[in-house]
Amino acid sequence: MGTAIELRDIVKRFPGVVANDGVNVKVETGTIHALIGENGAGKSTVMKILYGAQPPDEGTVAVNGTEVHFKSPKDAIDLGIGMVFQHFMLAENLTVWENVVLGSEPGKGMRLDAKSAIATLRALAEKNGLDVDPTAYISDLGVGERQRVEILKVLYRGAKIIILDEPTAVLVPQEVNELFESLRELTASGATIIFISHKLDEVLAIADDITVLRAGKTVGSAKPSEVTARDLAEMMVGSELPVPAPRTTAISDEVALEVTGLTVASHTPGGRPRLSNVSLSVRRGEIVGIAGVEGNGQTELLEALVGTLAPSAGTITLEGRSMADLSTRERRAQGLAYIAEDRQRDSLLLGAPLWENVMLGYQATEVFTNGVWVDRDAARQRTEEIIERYDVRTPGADTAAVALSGGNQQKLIVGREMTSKPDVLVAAHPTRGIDVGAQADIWDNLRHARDSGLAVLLVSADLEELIGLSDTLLVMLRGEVVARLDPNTITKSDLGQYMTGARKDAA
Amino acid sequence: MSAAPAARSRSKLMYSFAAPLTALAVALSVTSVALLAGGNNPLVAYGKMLKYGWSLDSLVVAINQSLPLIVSALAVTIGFKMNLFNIGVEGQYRLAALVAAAIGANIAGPGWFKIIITVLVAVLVGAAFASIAGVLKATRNVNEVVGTIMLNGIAFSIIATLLHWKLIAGIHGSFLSTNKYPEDAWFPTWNIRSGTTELYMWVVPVIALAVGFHYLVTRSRFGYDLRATGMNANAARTSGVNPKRMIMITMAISGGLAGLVGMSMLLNQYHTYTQDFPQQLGFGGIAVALVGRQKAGGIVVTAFLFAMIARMSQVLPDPPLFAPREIGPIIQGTMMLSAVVAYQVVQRRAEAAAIREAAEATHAAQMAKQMAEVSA
Repeated sequence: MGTAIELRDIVKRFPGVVANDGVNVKVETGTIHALIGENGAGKSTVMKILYGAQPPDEGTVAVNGTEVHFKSPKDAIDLGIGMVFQHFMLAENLTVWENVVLGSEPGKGMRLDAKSAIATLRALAEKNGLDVDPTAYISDLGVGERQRVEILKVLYRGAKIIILDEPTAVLVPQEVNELFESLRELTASGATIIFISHKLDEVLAIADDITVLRAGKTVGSAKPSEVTARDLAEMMVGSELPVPAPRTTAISDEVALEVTGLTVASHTPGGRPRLSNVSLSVRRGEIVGIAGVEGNGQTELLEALVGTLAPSAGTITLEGRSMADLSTRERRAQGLAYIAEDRQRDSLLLGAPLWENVMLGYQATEVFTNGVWVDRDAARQRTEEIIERYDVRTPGADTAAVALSGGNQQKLIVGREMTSKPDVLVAAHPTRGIDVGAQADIWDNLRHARDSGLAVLLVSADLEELIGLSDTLLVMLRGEVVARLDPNTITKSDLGQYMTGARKDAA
Repeated sequence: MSAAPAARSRSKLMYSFAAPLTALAVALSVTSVALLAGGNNPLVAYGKMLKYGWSLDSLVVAINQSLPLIVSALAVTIGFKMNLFNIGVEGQYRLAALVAAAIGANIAGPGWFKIIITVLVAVLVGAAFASIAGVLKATRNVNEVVGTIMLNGIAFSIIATLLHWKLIAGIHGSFLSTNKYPEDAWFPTWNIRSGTTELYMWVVPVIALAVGFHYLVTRSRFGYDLRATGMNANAARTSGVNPKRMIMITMAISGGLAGLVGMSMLLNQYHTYTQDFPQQLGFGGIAVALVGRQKAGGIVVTAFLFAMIARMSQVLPDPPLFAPREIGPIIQGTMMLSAVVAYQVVQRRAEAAAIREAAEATHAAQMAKQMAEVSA
């Protein structure tokens, strides 16, 4: 057994943050190697370096004992490295085999050899225990099957070393088990798997070796048989990381946001509703956290709250006023602030200067307008304030948003939403994919706002964040609220069990 | 630190001029090849063209002919700002001009009244006709490119039909045309020097329109929503912009502007809508909008340049050149192609420079913070 991959002293810097600062990983051939760490620990940067999408600034990468310098992902693919991304890249209206061969189609000249493609694929699926019908259409497949198609795609291209980026994030427990069986069969037939995750129980269940990253550094490695989830958590978080300070202010009795019986119908007639009879309330000065595996109705809840998705039933009340007939703009004007799930997709005008981004969502409010005109001076001034108060690192208010790092973009968004003096803040993944420093700043800001009476609904995939910030914790599964938990007593692994439906009580 | 703003304005200046100049250079080299292939010395040809263009007469003609192009480009651009492609300006302006001429010339009242009614009717017809595509897109998700192209076909057929209605048009000379406006309803012209072509005073409302357009797009609340939708439709929606409403309003404004395209020809030039009323100005506007970088100022300059090129190519068939005057459209066409490419390149450069600058600023801030920590 040799070494499939060896990363030595990898350093990678980005504007404003050192993403990797001494990463060492050694992956034995034919094993499942887990790379774990919190959001922002540098996992995705390691992955991009391994896949040839980015070169390291310092350090060496060796594949099968030979040092390599990837110029592009193509070099990595040629060496048998395959990558399965968290977000699937499949053409819905094509069949499984068509998706798999896309880009390296078998056949002569103009002819596409469907028969041999299907046969090859069947054999490949059979050999590796990846149960999927090559002639099925992607649009008919569930999430677990789609993931198997993604794995088949890299196997078809001859990958011997497969990187899986958070493969279980979108799966239900049953599918997780199926995935793990497939992975074991893959390693049995000689493949090497690098498994990127921050879910400790899964890592302990599947990995042969574990490397832990924290703040861009390798802080340790372990065998699952020799460590507990608690040991790993301590390694990941680091003992020096501040424990969330217990709150000193009391939660008010006044309900700021009340949701009752909120339901969003299924896309397909007769299907399971995307959001089913969700009721919750957030009081002033309270943070209500929503936990759940992604795709269990959180997006629908957020969109229904903001008013970009019409619910089929239920009511939303903000400070006693029904929001049913209000447009998104009116809801915002009534004191609803929103930090969207995907900041680049929903919260920013990347090509526009920061001051135009600061107006976004508030462009119709008095602050930024002067009759029918935009008050540019006011917008610039507000931007300068936010840059100063929220420590946004930028050359100035006229810099385009695209030029800022993710953390600084997010700090600007948080500043924008907080400065509008909202009654209720709906925050989705407020610290996803940003560096640790910015994360701490944003958490501080949320706590301060809470202490001064802001009602916050926090949707997050980061369990540490949820447990650390929330006063009440709700768990969503298949579009329903299935549990109401006390964040002071719940552990991460217990919470995980509620999220996957392995435990259901205390609702 | 003090060098940064200077560098910024310098790169901005470079951004404004590098691309159009490159485009012009590429266009001239391609045209030179075409001229050489026809057995002409490009330098001689360009010399003749410049000499012909360098006169008050040519200047006035170019300004007059640029007017419909400016308006047409503005009509296309307002859609472009939110990624809405109104390719139907062609049909909209011709239909609007015909209906406006039929009503404006026949209505009773003083000349100024006829002019106002003509302009109002043209705007309304253009807006209403374009709105068909807008409503289809907003309510039925019909692609506006397909919608407006189809509506072009319908507009041309409606025009052909209307021209045969006795109420609207009759045979004057050898052409079907609407009744001619009485002279008191002609828009004023200005004879700068006797013996030269008269300047259409319609240039005044057109320039006012361009200035108003600039402020509408860059400074108004509507303009902000418009540009936000164009840059990121999702983010605009999340910010409270109603996308369907934006589509309908923008399509109506675009059509309304399109309705004004024919006004210089109707009120200043021909004073009637004839079968051979100038065509292709809707499509010409698209080219002008692209080369003019979808900005009011750029559009005005480009439209003048395009009109000047058309004017200067008039001299090509004369002895001793005997070159085809289609050289003009070759220059315009290659200019458009290379301008679009050049803008992309320059845009990317500018973006990369901005990212670098932000990274440096961030780095500097971090170093300062670290220094402060160390000294503390």
